[in-house]
Formats: sequence, C-alpha cells, structure tokens
Amino acid sequence: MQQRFMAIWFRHLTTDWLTLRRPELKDIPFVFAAPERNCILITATNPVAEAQGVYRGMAAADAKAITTNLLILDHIPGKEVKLLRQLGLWCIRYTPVVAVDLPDGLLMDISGCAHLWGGERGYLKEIVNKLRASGYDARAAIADTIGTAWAVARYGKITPIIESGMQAQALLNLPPLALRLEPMVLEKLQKLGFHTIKSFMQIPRTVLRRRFGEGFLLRLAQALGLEDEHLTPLVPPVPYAERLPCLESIKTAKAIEIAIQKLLESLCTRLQAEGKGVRKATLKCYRIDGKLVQVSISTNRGSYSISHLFKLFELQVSKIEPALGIELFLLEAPKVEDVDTVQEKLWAGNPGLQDTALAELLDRLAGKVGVNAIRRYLPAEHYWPERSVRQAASLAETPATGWRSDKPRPLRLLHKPEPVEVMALLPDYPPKVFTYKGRRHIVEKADGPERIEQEWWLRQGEHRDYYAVEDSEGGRYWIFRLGHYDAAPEWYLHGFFA
Amino acid sequence: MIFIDLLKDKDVLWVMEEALKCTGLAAVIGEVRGLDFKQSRRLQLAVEQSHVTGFVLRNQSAKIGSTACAARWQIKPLPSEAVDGLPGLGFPRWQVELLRVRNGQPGNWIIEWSDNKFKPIEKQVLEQQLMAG
Repeated sequence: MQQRFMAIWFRHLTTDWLTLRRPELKDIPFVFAAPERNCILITATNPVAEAQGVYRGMAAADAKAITTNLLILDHIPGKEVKLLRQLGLWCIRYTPVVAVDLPDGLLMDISGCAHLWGGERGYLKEIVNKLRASGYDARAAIADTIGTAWAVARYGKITPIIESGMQAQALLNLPPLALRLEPMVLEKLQKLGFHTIKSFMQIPRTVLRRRFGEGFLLRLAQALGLEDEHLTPLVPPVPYAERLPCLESIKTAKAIEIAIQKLLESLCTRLQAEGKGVRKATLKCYRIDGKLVQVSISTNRGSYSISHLFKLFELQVSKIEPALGIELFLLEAPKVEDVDTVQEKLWAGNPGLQDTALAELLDRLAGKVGVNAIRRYLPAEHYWPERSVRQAASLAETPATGWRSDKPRPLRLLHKPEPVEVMALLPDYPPKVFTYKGRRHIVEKADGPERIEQEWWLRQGEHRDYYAVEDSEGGRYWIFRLGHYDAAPEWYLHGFFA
Repeated sequence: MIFIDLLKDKDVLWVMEEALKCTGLAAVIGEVRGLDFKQSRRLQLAVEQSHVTGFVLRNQSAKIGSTACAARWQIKPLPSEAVDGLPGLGFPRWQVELLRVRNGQPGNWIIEWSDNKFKPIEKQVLEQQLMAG
C-alpha cells in the first residue's frame, strides 16, 4: 500500500499557547525573544505583531522601533518540545504513528487511517478544525512523502492534499526553503538565483552534488519519494493493539461494554491465530475534552478467552469516567505470552493450581481487590519460625522443599510475637500463669522446651525456648522465652494451636 | 492453598461468592464478623450450583442470627487427657456440636486428634476416665 504522510505546521505555537493562558494578550502585539550573540533576537511572534511587520529572527530593538506597543517576553527554553509532545499525544486518536518535528510541527504516518473520517479531505479538515478550535493556528498537508507534506503545509498555496505520485508537480513552484535545507545551502541557492524548486529540478545530479553537497540531493530525493525517510514515533506502537473510533461520542456504561466486547473480539481472534495470550492489557479511552482515561487488567496466565477478559474489564468499567463522551477506544496488549492450546484442553477441569478456572477466578479477584491481597505460601528451609514460610511469587511456583511436620507447630502463627506477662515456678520450667491481652490463663499442661537458635548466618540474636501450653479451658498456645532465664526474662506468645 | 487478605466483610463475602462459583476448588473458607440471612442465602445458592464446599467462620459468637446454610457447627477446645499419666500435653480434643442441620439430627461429639486422624471419644470412655481420674 502507498504510504501517506501528514505534516502539521503550527504557525504561532508558543504565542498561541500564551494567548490561551492569558486571553487579555489576544489583541496586543507580543513576541518571545532570546539573547543570541550580544543581540536580543525574536524567536516567536503572535499574529498581531506579525501584521505590523515583526518577523522571527529580527532584532528586538528593530521590532520596537517599528511598532508602538510591542510586548517582549522571555523565550521559554524547551516549551516547544513540551507543547508539541502534548499536541502529538492528542493526535494519536487519528493515527498511531505521530512524530514531533521541531521546532514547530508534527509529522504523522496516516496510511490506512483516513477512510474512517470519510477520505483524506474530511480527515484533514477534522484535525485542522479541531486544532484551530482549541486555539492553535495550524496548517496541514497530506502527501506521499514526508518532505512534500512538510513543504506543502508551510509553502503550498493551491491544495493541501497532494494526490499519490504528484509530488514533483506540487513542489515545482515552491521556494527552496520548502526542502528543509541547511542555511548555508539556502544562501548559495539564493545567490545563484534559484528562487523556486522548478529552476534546479532538471539540473543533472552530479552537478548539483558538486555545488551543494550530498545532503541537498538527499532532501530532494526524500521529497520526491526516491529515497526512504522514517519517523520516530512519539509512542512506540504496541504490536497487539486494536482501535475503535466512535461516530457518536459514548457516555453510557453499556456502550463502553459493547466497545470493549468488540475490541476484544478482534484482538482475541488475532491472538488465537498466533497462539498467544494476553498477560496485560490496557484500555485507553480518548475523551472529547482531550483527556485520556485508561484502565488496565492483568492475568495470571496468557488468555485469549473473550468472555474471561471481558469479565476482567467489566469490573473496571465503573472506573472509566466518560465526562462529555469518549470518541476513541484503544485496546493495547503490551504483554503477551505463548499459550499452548493442547495443554489448555488437558488441564481444564482438573482440580489443582493448573486449572484454568482457578486462574480466571484469581484474575477476577485481583481486578476487584488488588493483586496484593492474594497470597500463596510455600515452605522455606529455615528453622526460625518467621522465616520458615515465604510468599510464592506466582501461581505456577512449586515448593523446593516439603512442609515439615515432625515438630509441633501452631495452626496460627502471629506475624510478630506478642509480649505476655508470665509467672514461672522454676528456671527453665514452663510458666504457671500467663496474661495475654488482659486475660489470665492458668497453665494446666505444658510441653517443651524446644530451643530454636537464631540463624547466625542471617542475623545475630538470642535463642528462643518454645513451650506448648494448655490452659484450664483447653486453649492451646505456643509461647517462648527469649534468651536464658535471668533476672527479667521476656516471654512472648507466638501462636495458637487448634 | 491460596490466601486472600481483606479488611471489609463485604469484600470477603464477594470473594467467597465468586470462589464458590468456581468449580475447580475443593473448599472455600471465609472468616467474617457477621453474616445475615440474605448473604448466607447467596452463598448457599452458589454452593448448590457448583458443589464446592464452603465454610463461614464467624468469630463474634454473640451476634449469630439465622442463616440459610446447610449446617451450623460450634467447636470448642477441650482440655486434653494425659496419655497413660505422663506429664505434658495429651492429644488435642474438641467439643464438636452440630447445632442445626438440614434434613438431619443435631448432635454433640468429642473428637480427638491422635495417630494422624480424628477419633471420636465415646461417652462411656469419657465416664470411665472421669471415674478413674
């Protein structure tokens, strides 16, 4: 397919931005100026100043002399990049490949995008009107090559849309400035009397190379489409993404659900054909007011099941604020993984951690209550009770060691041992009475002690002497004494047996 | 075994209901402060559909209302009996009461965990032990 490019030129990028911020400046001539080589030069002008004869590159003193009430403001370094980035991100609703073209333009690869707006004319009109309505004076052009689109956007006078293959004719009457050349080359062309591209287009390449260098020929060839030129997209395109532009803006939850369903259908058919499954997906909703709202889901294992992914998104629909309405939905799957379809059939309906139903359940729960709430524990090879259990990183992780069952361990282990007041009869004897949370427990029977040493290769500390005790009501507790029995031994309660 | 830590009872019940609808699970155990009739009915319906066993642990025994569950148990620990008069802890014992069951007789048992299995202790044995003690 023939590639089509669009170039947008913002005639008064920074001044338009300031006028938006400070509407009172609308009718006052003002310029941005920055010092350069002992002279203050104008870097940007607003339309009012321009009408009075002020142009970019003029010395600020000269400009002041020819106008009556010129306002000179300090140039803000880096502002253009920031503004162009913002505008470029806004333009992503029209095409996925948008690039910033410093100092005052945007370049877009619009191949295969325009038909959604009823052809290139409608597409261009829509973008330019939207930009103008938001306060930016924009000009745009569409052509087969970046060079021609750039030239026509800035210097074209006849039509902004150059039909496929007509680059040469479109460029004929434009000045050499339109070719994005070095200032040195431009000066030379000016001196030699080449005022339009037409005048040197027919000159043999070897002659041109000798006089103006390789860069000049490259630019000319790029504009004519003889040489390839690539864009650096603002947002790297995600390989698995689906777009759904809406004719009418969407406001209701039901309509959003239908949109999600449609996007998932096309994405999942593609994924299934390639044997892939979604691990992470993001739904980006571009709103009419220029804002972007997005929700994400993630799954425990790759999935291309429409019903499952839809259920995950369904939980998030309430988080999408449509405000005035959503005009474009973009579903991206930044993380996909291979799914073995054969294995899927084998494991379905098989109880255990491999069950797909379980993975789907956990995805749903994670969507509602958050991933951090869901935990799975595995045994770890440590003697110290707090370290003998660790959290599993994923559903598929298998324990490296078995659960130990040779020593009595409580059913419920406290995260942090809680101090108890204790009365013990003899040193190294289990306590007779202990008070936990204000309640006195009289110990009837006790087992122990079981001494557990601090693992010195991990941490220094005192050992613990654990006792399993039973109170007069039959409650069974795991309590320990820290260190040796001395003047003031510290006792802690660490767990409850059944 | 998968743990899900939640703060609110409402979330616990939602997760429980979702889990009970999932046929791949062996059992679902939820711990809540209170459970009213409507909530228990929802859980019961989910159980009947998927045949997954569900347990609700209610730790505020004072506020127990009527529920739609199939059975209600009350379990209390009991002091263990010394084995052959040796000092130390005996096998753990519980008083297990079946307060209410659908289509069945409520009952009351004493159960002991020994030799890696649960053993019911007969009333006669208990009396003998008491006599001997």
